[in-house]
Amino acid sequence: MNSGFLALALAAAALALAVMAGGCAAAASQDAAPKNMLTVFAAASLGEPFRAVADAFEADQPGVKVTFNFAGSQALRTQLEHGARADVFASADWEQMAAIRKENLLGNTPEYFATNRLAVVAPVGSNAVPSLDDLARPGVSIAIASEEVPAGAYARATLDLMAESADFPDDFAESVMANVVTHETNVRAVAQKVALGEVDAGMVYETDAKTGQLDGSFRVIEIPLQFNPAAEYPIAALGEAINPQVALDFIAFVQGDDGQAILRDYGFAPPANVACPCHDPVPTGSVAPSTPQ
Amino acid sequence: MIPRFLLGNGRTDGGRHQASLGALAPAGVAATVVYVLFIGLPIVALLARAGQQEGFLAGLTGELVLQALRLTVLTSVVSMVVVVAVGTPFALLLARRRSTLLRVIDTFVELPIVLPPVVAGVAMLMAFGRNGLLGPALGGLGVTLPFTTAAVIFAQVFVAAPFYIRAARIGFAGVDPTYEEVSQTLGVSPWATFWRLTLPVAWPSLLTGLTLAWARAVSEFGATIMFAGNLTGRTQTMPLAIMTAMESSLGSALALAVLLLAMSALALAALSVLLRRTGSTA
Repeated sequence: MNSGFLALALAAAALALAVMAGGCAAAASQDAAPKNMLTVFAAASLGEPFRAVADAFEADQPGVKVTFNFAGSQALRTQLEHGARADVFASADWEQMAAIRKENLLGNTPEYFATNRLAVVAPVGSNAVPSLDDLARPGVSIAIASEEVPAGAYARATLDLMAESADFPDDFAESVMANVVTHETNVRAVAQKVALGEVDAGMVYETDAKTGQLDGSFRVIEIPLQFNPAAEYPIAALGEAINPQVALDFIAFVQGDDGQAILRDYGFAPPANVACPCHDPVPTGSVAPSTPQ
Repeated sequence: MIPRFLLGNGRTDGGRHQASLGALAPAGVAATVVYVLFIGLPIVALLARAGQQEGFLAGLTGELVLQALRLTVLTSVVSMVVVVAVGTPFALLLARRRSTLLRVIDTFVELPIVLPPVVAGVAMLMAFGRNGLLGPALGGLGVTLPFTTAAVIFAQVFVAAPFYIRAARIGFAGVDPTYEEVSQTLGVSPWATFWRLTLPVAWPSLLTGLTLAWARAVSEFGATIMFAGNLTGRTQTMPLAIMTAMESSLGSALALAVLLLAMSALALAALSVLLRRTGSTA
């Protein structure tokens, strides 16, 4: 191989690398460019309410543009742990927020901003599950979120509480879990499978149930409060926030009267307690610990 | 869509045309270096990280990984039996008969190759779901497809079959029909002609198509999670298990990823060995 060939090859390689680097730089500058762009990673169950909150926030703060990444909180946590850039993280449980906090990725102290609870939903046309007891009847098909998803963890805790009570048989939780045909990766996917009528019932949040009931796709079976631990949603700014001040403003807006009113419209209750269990050496959620059977 | 070296006859011209590249050669070498690094680096990084990851070895023998592996092997093998059984006569017809309708069908067959798999999943729910087009009829027979292992196979066949059918059609089209006619005029039955003449000649293409289809079935994700759901041991194939594990145990996710990588590499290696062997006897 002569030196002219080598020089040309090197030049071409350099050019190719420059093009790739240019692409990366362009992508990176796209991340940083809009000064008032706010990126919010939020639990799937916050979809509609947070869009409405963002509309109000944008009207309140001209020039600010909010973009969302809605997914299961555990998926958002994984993305953030692997380097995703965001300004605000709103999780459906404390576990995911605690994991982010443990990695030192937060920019401020998380606070609870809303409370949700679970409900069982069934397709409108189906009579397979008239009451909670029927969830355990053989042959019924059920969708729940997977164990890693906050809604899935709450669902398992709820079933365990029911099994422990005198109102349900001792093997209630196992019987229901035996009827589960799919573990979805976020609570909205559970709601969607029920709305399509592909399963007889699903365990979702009351807020999802309310939305689906309003548009006529669900029948809602309420879960009594004693079996229904509060799902408390924490929110925090991220340490790598591109716009830390806008991030804090957004969080304050969510916690303020306007934000809370919108969340209430969508069925969320105000937080029982604003302070997160941030001083615990071992993060604990608000869910009662499930008892292994 | 399909790399040409896989669809071709497996023979390249060696170094004979090196000189004719001329001034383009340095660009070719540079592009090769950049490309090999681009593809190789993530694979090396995956293996390196897996070697250090806590929980990797435990993950390899863990229940999540074993169940996903078992299910993936089972469903992909059943899918390939279906694909070969239906795809082979279909591809032969496409290769031998000419009609406008068949030409339209020929194009239509390749739709799943370009269709996003998640669209395939939604479409299958609309067709075979409980409230789908055929749902009530299937329900009348006592059959519910969504969220079953059968649904995983449906999804795999839907997305993977075109890779086999396409390669098989090209393979059959490469067999000169005159030989088949001669064979039959000599009194050899059409079946025997197919087994002893058509199949051996088209074999490399069929094998290549089958390997690609199998690899596509094994990697199927979008249509499966939409139509078959995600249940360990029943519908959670390896790609679905990786996604679930990424959110709970990186060790298990890496174990699954390394297993899938090994399976893919093995398939490519086996294909290359088999092609060389049939190439030398053909």
